[in-house]
Amino acid sequence: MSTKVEPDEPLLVAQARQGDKAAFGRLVKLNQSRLLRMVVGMTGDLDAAMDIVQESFIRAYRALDRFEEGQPFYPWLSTIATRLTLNHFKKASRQTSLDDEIKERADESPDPLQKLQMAENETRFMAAVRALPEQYRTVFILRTFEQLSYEDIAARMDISVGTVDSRLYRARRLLVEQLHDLLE
Amino acid sequence: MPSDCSRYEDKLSTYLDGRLSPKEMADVAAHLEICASCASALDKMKRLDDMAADAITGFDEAVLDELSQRIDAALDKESPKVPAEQPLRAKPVPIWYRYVAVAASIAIVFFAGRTMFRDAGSEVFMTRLRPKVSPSMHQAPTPPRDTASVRGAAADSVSTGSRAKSLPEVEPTAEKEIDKDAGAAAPTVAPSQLREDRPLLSTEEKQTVAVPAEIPGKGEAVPAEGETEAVREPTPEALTDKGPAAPLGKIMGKVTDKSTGEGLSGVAVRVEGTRLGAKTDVHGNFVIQSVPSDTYNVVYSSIGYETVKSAEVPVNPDQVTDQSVTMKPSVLESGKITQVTGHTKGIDFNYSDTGVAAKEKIPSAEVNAIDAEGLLSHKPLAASAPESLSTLLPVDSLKTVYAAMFDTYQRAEIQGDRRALVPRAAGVAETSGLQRFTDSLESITPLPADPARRIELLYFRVRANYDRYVSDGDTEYLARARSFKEMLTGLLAQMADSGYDRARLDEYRRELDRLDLKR
Repeated sequence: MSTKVEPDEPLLVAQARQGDKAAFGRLVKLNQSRLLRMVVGMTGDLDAAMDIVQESFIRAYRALDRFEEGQPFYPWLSTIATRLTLNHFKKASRQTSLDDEIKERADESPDPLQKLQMAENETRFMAAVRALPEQYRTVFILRTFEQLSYEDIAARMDISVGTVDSRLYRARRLLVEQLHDLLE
Repeated sequence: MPSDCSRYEDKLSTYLDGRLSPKEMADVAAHLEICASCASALDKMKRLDDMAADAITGFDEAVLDELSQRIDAALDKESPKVPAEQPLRAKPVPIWYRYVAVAASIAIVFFAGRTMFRDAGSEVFMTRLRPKVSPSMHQAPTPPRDTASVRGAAADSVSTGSRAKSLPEVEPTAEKEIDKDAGAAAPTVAPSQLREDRPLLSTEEKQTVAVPAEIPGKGEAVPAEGETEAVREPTPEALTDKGPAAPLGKIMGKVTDKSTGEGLSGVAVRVEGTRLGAKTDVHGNFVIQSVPSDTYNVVYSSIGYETVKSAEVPVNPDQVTDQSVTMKPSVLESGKITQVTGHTKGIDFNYSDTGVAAKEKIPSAEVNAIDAEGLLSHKPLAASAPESLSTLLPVDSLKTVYAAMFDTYQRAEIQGDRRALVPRAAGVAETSGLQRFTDSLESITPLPADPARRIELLYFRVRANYDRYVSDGDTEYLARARSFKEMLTGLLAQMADSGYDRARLDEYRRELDRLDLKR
């Protein structure tokens, strides 16, 4: 995951700032796959992730005036997406018991991951990640998918570096427990 | 496995990331040399990271096409962009500065039936993914180096709209009116108003566009290379409610502390009736560019200071209006911090460090509102206070109060000796309000020396961490609750020996015993 500035990225940003939506569309194409990967990792839900990614781009477009020229676009964009994802968790946690019922029913259904067209190991890995408490999961994804420093994760999630450290440790420990046979 | 392995196991993750101190790194490395079990555990963690690097390396084209089409469609609905007055330098904006009024007098309203935070992530499914290798995904991982500089801008972009929108709704007046009939079930501010549920930013979002995050130098906006002055000028009607294309002037000045004469940084300066504003720099200077000529009220606000309004400030074409002001520390700074308002049996009470209006102890169920700022302040109560807050309120009512806090605030912030609680409506990163609240609180509020206040705060921390654990099962918080309980138990034992009200201490002990802190 390189964060280097694409050769024409500053130009695209400048054009988009002037209201050139086609230029912004190009920025979308350049960044959407990577952003979607991060949000899918954090949410474990492609549909929700697509909504969040869409919203992230729209907010980025509106806030382009505040984007510092010359900086790589992706980290800024992914900061927005992280915040929206954390918002999403919060909203989801407020849902009523109806959701619990749905969840129970879903838990009874065969295997929701069957729908995935992923390699077997990858499917198991993602299922284990998805089963993590969301706070652990978010830290783990920001660290491993996004390669962020502890400090950057702390700042994005508004938690202390020590908390990042302990959550990452717990996430890894839980995942190793779940996936130990794959990791031998 | 050597018997001291557990000591090393806990460090492996941190070791893997090279985050231990040099001494610890060497210590763990030495242990790994001799311990096959720990070496194997570390290997597994490494492989786990490799597995993460290989996960979801690409998406089906159809998924990406659908996504870009959706974004395009949403973009089409966006209004044309108005170039900002000046590029913001993306310095993180301390969010407290917009919340002057909140800090000036905070009443927490108890919401019955609050919802706590449950892990909802596991109820969703992943579909439509398939492993598809995209070239762009296979570049070598390079940690972003300078995201800090853009973080602020992003935080601002996501959050300022909701803040701008919600501020009037949460802005407290000096006295929150409590609905006596509805009691605790009737929040003064409806939760729906406090919480951001808007899926998309509305046009109000743009109100904050013109508020610079930083005033560069003397405040002259320098057009960036390749951009013309004309392009950078805001369209006046887009930024204000004044008529089209009025000639532009400028407001600048310095904000100083009335008591010390020093420049005040971080003061929000707003031009009323417009979307224009600025924040003072470290020396207290500010400049607001491109103000359509007219007469305005200019409002200066900052945490811990009384808000100042300069009325009828004239702005003339191509002229600079000097609007330097002094600001007086608000009551928060003068020690009148602790204040509890509510009612009991139809009698209003108002407790502050200047005295207690209600002489009797207040039954817990009747406590509707409390000044969180006061409760959390580490400043000792003034000598005139007959009792501390914790002796005034029964322990179980404190519990109610804390519950209300978790729902109401998302973080406590401090700068110098100014402090503020940020309502959750002001949410930036909306993780759990409680988590942010407790995390930030613990980092800014040292335990007070006064034993009664110390007990109060420790109890709060036990409670906060315990509730957090109960709500989402994060054992990290259980551990924290335990350690705070240990501290509190020790303190309670000490206090019993020093003649503190034993019945009161027992009350705390009973409350602690009720919490199930075992795993």
